[in-house]
Amino acid sequence: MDLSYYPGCTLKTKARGLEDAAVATMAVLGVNLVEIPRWNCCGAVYSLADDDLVHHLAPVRNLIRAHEQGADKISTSCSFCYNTLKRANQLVQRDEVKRRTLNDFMEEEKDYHGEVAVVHLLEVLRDDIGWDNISAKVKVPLHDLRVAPYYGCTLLRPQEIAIDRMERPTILHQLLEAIGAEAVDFPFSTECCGSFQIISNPDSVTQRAWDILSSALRRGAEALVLTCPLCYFNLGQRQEELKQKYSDFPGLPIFYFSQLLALALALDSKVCHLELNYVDPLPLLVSKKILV
Amino acid sequence: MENYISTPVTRKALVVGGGVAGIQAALDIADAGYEVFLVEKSPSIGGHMIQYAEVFPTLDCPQCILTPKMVEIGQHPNIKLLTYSEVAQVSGQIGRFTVQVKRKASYVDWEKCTGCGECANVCPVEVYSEFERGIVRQKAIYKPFGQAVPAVFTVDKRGIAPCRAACPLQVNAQGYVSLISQGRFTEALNLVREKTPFPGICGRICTRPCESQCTRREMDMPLAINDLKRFVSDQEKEPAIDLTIASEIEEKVAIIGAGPAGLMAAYELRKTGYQVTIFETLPAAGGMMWVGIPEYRLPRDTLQKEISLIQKIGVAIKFNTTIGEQVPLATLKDEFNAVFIATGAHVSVKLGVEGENLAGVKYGIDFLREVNLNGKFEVGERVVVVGGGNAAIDAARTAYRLGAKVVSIVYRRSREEIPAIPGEVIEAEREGIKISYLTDPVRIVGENGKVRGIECLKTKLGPPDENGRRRPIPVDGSEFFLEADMIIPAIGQVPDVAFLGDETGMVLKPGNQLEVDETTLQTTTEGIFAGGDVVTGPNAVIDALAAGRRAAISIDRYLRGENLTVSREDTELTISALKVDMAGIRQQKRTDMPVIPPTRRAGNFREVALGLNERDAIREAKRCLACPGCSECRLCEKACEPKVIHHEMRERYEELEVGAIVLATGFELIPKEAIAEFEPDPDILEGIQFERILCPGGSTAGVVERPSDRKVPKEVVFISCVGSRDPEHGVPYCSRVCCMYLAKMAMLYKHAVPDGQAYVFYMDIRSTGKGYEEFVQRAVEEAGVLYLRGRVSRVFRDGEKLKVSGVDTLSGKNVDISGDLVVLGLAMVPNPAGQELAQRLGIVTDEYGFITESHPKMNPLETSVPGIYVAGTAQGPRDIPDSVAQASGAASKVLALFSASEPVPGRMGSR
Repeated sequence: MDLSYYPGCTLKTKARGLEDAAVATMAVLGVNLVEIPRWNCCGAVYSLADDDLVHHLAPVRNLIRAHEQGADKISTSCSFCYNTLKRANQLVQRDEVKRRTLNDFMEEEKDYHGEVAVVHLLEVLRDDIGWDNISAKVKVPLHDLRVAPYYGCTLLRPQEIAIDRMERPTILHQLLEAIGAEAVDFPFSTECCGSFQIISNPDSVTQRAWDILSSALRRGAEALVLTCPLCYFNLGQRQEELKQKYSDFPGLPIFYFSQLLALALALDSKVCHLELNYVDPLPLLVSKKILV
Repeated sequence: MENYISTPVTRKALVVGGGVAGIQAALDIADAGYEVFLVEKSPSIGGHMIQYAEVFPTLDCPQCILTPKMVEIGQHPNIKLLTYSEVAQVSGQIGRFTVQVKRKASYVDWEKCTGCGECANVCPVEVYSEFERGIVRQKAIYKPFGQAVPAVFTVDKRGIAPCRAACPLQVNAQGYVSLISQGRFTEALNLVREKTPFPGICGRICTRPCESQCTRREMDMPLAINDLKRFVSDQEKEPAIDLTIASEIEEKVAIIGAGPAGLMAAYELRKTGYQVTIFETLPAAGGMMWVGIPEYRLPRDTLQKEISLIQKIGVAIKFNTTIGEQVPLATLKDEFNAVFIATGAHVSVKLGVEGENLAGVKYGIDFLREVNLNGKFEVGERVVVVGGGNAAIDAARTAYRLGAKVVSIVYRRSREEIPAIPGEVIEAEREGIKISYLTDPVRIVGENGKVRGIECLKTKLGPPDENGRRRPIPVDGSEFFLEADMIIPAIGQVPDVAFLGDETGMVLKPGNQLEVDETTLQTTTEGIFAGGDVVTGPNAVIDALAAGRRAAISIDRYLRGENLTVSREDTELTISALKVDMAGIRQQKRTDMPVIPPTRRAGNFREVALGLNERDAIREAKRCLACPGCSECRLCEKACEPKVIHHEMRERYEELEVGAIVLATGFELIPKEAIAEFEPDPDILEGIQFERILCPGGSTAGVVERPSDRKVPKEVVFISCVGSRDPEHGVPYCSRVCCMYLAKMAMLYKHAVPDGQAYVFYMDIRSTGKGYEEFVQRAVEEAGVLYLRGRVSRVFRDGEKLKVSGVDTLSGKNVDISGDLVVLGLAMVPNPAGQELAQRLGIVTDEYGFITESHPKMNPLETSVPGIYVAGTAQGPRDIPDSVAQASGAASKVLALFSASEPVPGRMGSR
């Protein structure tokens, strides 16, 4: 099955582990991710200002690219891109006046009415492929690996774009179980990582990282799994500082969902780009006999 | 206005719901001289009010102020109280309603029950208590609470446990498990023996269909039901089994084969009084249990002890006697009144490959038979077993014990399809036996007439075959050679039907299986029955035992000249669709039996599984969820002095004629699970649960303890508007009573724990009743309850504490409180049963299910159906004084109708 795919800027740089692992695993699971041509920035943050339509141009242009390809669905693996694309799409679908203004402004483009559905790859795994089919393809079950699923905000909020229940979501839990790992429930799994506050108020992000990571550790997690490059950055890169601040903080390896999936399917670990991880996961993976 | 009807009015009333509103309405109507039927779905009246610790704003105790009215209901000459009953159907119209009332089976004759409670003292089953809201559990035979009216006991029995229904012998697994949990081992064993004389045998080698249906598997792992059965049978030295014969009967029955089917049939028939003779080819009884199953799984003394019972009750066993060869079947037909064929399946299936005649090839069943009869066998050094059934695993593990150096098994499907008992496969692997899956033998290779090895090829699995198992497909070019000096093919057995001789009447199916009637087990020849492996092909012992019982029933009926097929006592029990309450049940690992370490198993046949000890057995038995409530162990029947417990009682219907109906069906709380921000935790309570903890008459006698560790909570956080005024998670309306009852509970908590701190998160305080605002002020000023205006976003466990993350909207700051206990003021919703009844009666309700009054201002007591009135929280959230006032109002409406001159005045009948 071919599926239109929007990568997003981070996935070509810092988050190559998310992208390359996702493309490789989806191929094994029978889904060929077709990158849309001439894609641009997703908009990064969905603008809530009522008269700020210009900020929606970027995501809508990406959707137009997919529509031009004849796609009825576009997938993405970054939570932030998913959020802006999905919400911009809903705006176009629901607000006729704004839709017209946007289309008039982009006179060089074909009119767009929200024909393309936006999905996150986790939804593709759950709804199109199915956990049982994933389980059947697992070659290295991640037995004994206790992973805390971290959802962050943008996959689940606002409610109308949520890929799962807003409170107490389970989709990452189900993925973990499908690949043989143990999902560790922890209370901060939907807490915000601090997001762009990392630029203006890094100390508050450090505090949030501590709250989230220490909570997962207290519940017995050995690793954290997530879907968002910004969460990945905030929770990963801050750990050096946390180690200095809290002498007993052991650090917590963080994985993208696609990395764990690739490991369980026994793909070449090069696609995971584990060298880009802020916390070296190799000792953990070796001790669990997932990698040798 | 025209008259609605012009027929005479039946001057009797029906009140539905036995809470405070229903009680008040019933008393008012009855006091005015009219007959009232009060229908309540639970066993006692009292409603929610009787659950509360104290009631605001006067802090009266409901046990003191409501009980007198409850007693009056019970004694009032004009009131007929129908508890544990539900309104099933209503027809007719104002002045003349016909009502069908379902009287649920209480399994106790309430007319004669003295309420002494001896039954509950002996009951081994504990179930969820609706009255205690799960804070403590109650016995399966129970009186809901001390002051219950009527003061009688009820059996909570909702069907048949899935474990019991799954047993081919219908052994009451839930019953003996519950008895073991109470340390009543003798009674447990007696209960097993009601269905099988072989608890020690079954407890070791049963394939455990019961465990495959255990509800517990949905939360962690099934109960070790069979290990518990073995445990109780191990507790006694000599079988204390009742071997009395009903009364001697002249008729003679011949049984061919002393395996499980034959022995079971012999036991049942002899107990009934028949003269039974078993003919057995081998020198020992037990069939495959003796010559198939190895001693390390089933010790011979256990087997001997239980089989000897059959001889003790007077069954004659003629050993070394082969029917057909020595005694023709025709002779048995002449000399006996009925014959039961239970010869089993003892002929090995051939592999059908080259080299099967070589020396060193020994078929699994033949191998096991020789070992079990002679105790010895010269095995090779390298043994390869072919097959994946229990016989294959048994053969491999036996070869290992006899000194084979390398034992391996080849099986053509994957581990998932292997039919052997999973625990046996694991133990075999622990003994060092290598199992090659997806491997199929091609030919046995020999040298000088002796086995040198076996050539195999790899397979892959194709689509499922007619049996639903995936078909192995050979992989081209994957041939490989396994060195071996002994090959044990164990791929199946078929019956030997040589006993038929020249008997031609009986029909054989493919695989040499005898054709029988499924229900009666009679063969195509009258008077000759057959069961067990000879009919089914190789199957589990438990199925053979069930066939033996089935044949015995048929033979008894046949010899008495009765119909063989109608209403048989061995019909399968249906697995009831039970909604098992798992609230408050925590995950707990299954306790498995210890085993002899694999390194100490070679060279001996000592039993591998060592059995549970008493402590572990009780702990394991306590994991039982008591799916259907009562387990029918019938200890209560024996304990009941007036003999009023009837486990066969059925529900029945009663028809009532009434002129008016008052619906007072009350409320429920939305489930706390609906609020996903709050992590499920035993120390997060709904209001009514905390009422039970605060109640001086509750399980802790008023000592405030939190459920998780029974410690006194020093910081308690109360949260208002949980689900109320919150359309995202619950309902948009205000539940009206939560502000007050949270203030009351905070105050009561402070009275009980003076050094504790109570916090209340609130949106705004709605204290509009008489004396209410003063009450809240007392809570704040005198009791020192800390009120925080704001919402709580999250509650989760953090070690011993519960973290409550909220916001104080007055100071604009986030507030994090580490509490010991959290109490939720959950939204009030209509009682689901009341809501469903209103729908059935065609009464208009609002979108939340509350009954809509016919005019919100001017007719607040009338429903949309003339002659049916509403009182209490069935109409909408309200407090006790309002409910009582409304109940009296509804009663006066009824009385006006009854007092009016006939016919019904038009105003009352109009919509």
